[in-house]
Amino acid sequence: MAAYAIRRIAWLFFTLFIVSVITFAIAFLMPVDPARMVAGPNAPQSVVNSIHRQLGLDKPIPVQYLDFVDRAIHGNFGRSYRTQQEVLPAIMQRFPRTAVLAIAGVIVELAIGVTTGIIVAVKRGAAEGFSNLFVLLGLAVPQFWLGIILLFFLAYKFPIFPLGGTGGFMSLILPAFTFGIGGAALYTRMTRAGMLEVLNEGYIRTAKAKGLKNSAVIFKHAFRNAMRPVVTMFGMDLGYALGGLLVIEEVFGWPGIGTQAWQAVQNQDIPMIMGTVLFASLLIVAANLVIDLLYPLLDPRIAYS
Amino acid sequence: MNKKGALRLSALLGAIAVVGVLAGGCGGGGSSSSGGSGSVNRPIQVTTSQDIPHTDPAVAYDTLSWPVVHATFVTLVTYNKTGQGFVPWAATSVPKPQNGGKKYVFTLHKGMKFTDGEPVNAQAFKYEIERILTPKTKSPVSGFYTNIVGAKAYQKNPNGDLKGVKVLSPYKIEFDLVKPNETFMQTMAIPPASAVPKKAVEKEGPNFDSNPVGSGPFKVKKFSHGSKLILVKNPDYKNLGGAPETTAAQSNEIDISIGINPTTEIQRVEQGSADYELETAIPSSQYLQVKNNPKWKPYIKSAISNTIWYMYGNVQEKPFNNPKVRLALQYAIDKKRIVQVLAGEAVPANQVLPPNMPGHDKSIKSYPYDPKKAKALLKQAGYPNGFHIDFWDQNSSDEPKVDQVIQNNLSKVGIKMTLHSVSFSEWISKIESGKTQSGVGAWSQDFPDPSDFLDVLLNCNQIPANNQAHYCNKQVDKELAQALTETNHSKRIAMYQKIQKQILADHPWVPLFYQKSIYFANPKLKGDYIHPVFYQTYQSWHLTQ
Repeated sequence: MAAYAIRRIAWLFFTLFIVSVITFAIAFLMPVDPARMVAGPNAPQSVVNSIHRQLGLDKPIPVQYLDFVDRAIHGNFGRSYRTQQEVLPAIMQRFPRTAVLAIAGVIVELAIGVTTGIIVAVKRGAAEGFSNLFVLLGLAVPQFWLGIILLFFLAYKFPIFPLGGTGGFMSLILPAFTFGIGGAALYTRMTRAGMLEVLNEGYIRTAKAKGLKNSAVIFKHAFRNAMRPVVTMFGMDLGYALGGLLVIEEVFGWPGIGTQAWQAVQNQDIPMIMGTVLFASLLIVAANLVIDLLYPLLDPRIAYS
Repeated sequence: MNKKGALRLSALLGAIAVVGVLAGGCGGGGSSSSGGSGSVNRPIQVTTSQDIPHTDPAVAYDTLSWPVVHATFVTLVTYNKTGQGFVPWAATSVPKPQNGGKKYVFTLHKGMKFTDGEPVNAQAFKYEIERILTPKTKSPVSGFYTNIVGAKAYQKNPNGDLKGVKVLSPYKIEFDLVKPNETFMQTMAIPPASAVPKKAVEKEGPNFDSNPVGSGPFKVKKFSHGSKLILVKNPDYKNLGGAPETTAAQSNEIDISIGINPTTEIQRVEQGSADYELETAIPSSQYLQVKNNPKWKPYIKSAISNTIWYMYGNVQEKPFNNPKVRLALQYAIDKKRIVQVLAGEAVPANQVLPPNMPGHDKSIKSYPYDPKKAKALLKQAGYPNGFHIDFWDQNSSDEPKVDQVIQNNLSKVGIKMTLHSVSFSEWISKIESGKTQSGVGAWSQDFPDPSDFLDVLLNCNQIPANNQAHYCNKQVDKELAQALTETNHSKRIAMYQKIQKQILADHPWVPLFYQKSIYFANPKLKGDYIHPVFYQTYQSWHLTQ
């Protein structure tokens, strides 16, 4: 187990290294001088050249990359070209908002998706038709559209919720649901499939035969075994969501790290691009790792050696 | 659902509630829907989709940062309401030039201080110019101050002394210029020339840009990049000079919510949970909707901004090197149609200088849209079957619509156009390479002086970056240099009008339109005129019942 974990952590660093090389290369492949983006469209070329030198952009790209790695290893990701903030504190300032939205969104998708999935698997019949429709709609509706529609009806026409922004619990509900509904559809399908498979197993019949209550059969025996793929997806989902929810953040004016990364790309703000991309990658890779390490706890049949 | 299930669901909802409380706790702050017709003492709610890049005067150089800097810092002189004249602010008067236009001496009011207690004195103004010229500051406006004696030497060695700025006494400062230059006073009135406190700047370093310490009517209470900027009244501020913004009715607090998408911004103002949206232009589809609804008419604030959009062709190469081709283009473009596709958020242009810019010449006639005449002129020029051009423009907001009108207009006179519609970053690097055959360009003023258009856009020394048409007329350059040093204002303006006529006679551009600045605001908000330089003057804003 320990050896496995160490090997996986080594892979994590290797993945981040590859991500950093690719991101750095792409950032420099863009055809514009970042110094021009700092100086603005009106500044004369001589001023742009001076800023170019100050940012160290006149050095060869591999040297700039090694400088970056050297600083990053010491925990210094530099300062944003545009806002002059230190990159890591700037990300950490916005990360709590993304984290809150991600966790709320994942809770919504789990709550709706798993509940519907179980009900449909157990009840079948009409519930199945309803669930198929829900799954289809949930997967087909683009998040930005759903977000705008929810805002229009529930915040503008009938001002129950605030019109975007972050201002307490009420402002969290619409973005969390916008994220949760699409995901819930996937969880419904996955839970249903898992449950149906398990419900046909012999031990379920045995459990029923020995007179257990229906709820005990479903939750204690069937659900626990049907849960493994759900947990896998939950881990990936959470990692992905924590890395920033660009579309939802943009629609709802939710100042998280998704929009932060997007603004960095628009402004050719290389330190900020590197910081936000690496941070998001770290979360995704780490979430996968944690889930893998949790498997044996969920299912004793799995053991890492 | 059985009881246990219901319990689990309520536990889940409880968990969401906990997360929600955390969301509230982690700040940001958004709209409070309790706004609208309430008390006049509540904070004024402002929204913007874009982040406010800077609050440090030395690096601020955009339409979102300047209003904030103007509200939180003080310059020696400032603009009057029309932006076409100066009034003293930290200085006791607007000084007359001495030594043939090469020397200016300002006397300061005593008793002004920064919010950290440091005095606002001559040294604080000198320090700001030094900061701008120091390469490490990465100031985009350093080019404005290189005419000060010793500025270029100081840029090379920022540890030396900036000889051309002399602190004569704690409240007297002298500026010496290399050459007389009538735009000097402009560079003293724009926000970058504000006094800054040395101690705070040195303590904060680059963080000063997010935690500014100023001496203006407001101070920055909180600045969280990408989400919120809160301005609160500075109790120590006194308008000792003649700044036109009366602060008697000044609001106590202005909350700027950042990152709200433009559609939501309009909805917030309509709903009353915001008072002002800061987009320079409402999305054209939405503008039509609100413009045609009498209910929202009082909400629309509009002014023609000092911004010109033009179409250019490289006049040093075929086919644009032929004056007849350039004249034909004047008739070929339907500017009214362009304004129409922009939903009326612009007015047709017929010259370089916009209507609110000194030197704008009302006597200049517009060329009518006349494709037949254009075609005849092209035939005379030796292009009876037209030609093919490469055309470059940005793909942001409404620009593709403008390009399509031009493409359509040109095809009617036989000119085929390959449109390269690219991102701003790609566009500007292409422009700087000087390799665009033709395209659309735009320029917004730095300050309201005709030299900021004619000298910047059409001087030979601006090829290729700003002078995309590669227009070079030595006589024009000579007269531009003369006009820059002319001290008699009306004589100077007449010189620029003559220069502009000469340029227009050469047809380096087709002037397309002047952009309007349009904001959507609660009519209960007063004092919010659109200033030609500062755009928003937060210090004069207040709410009425």
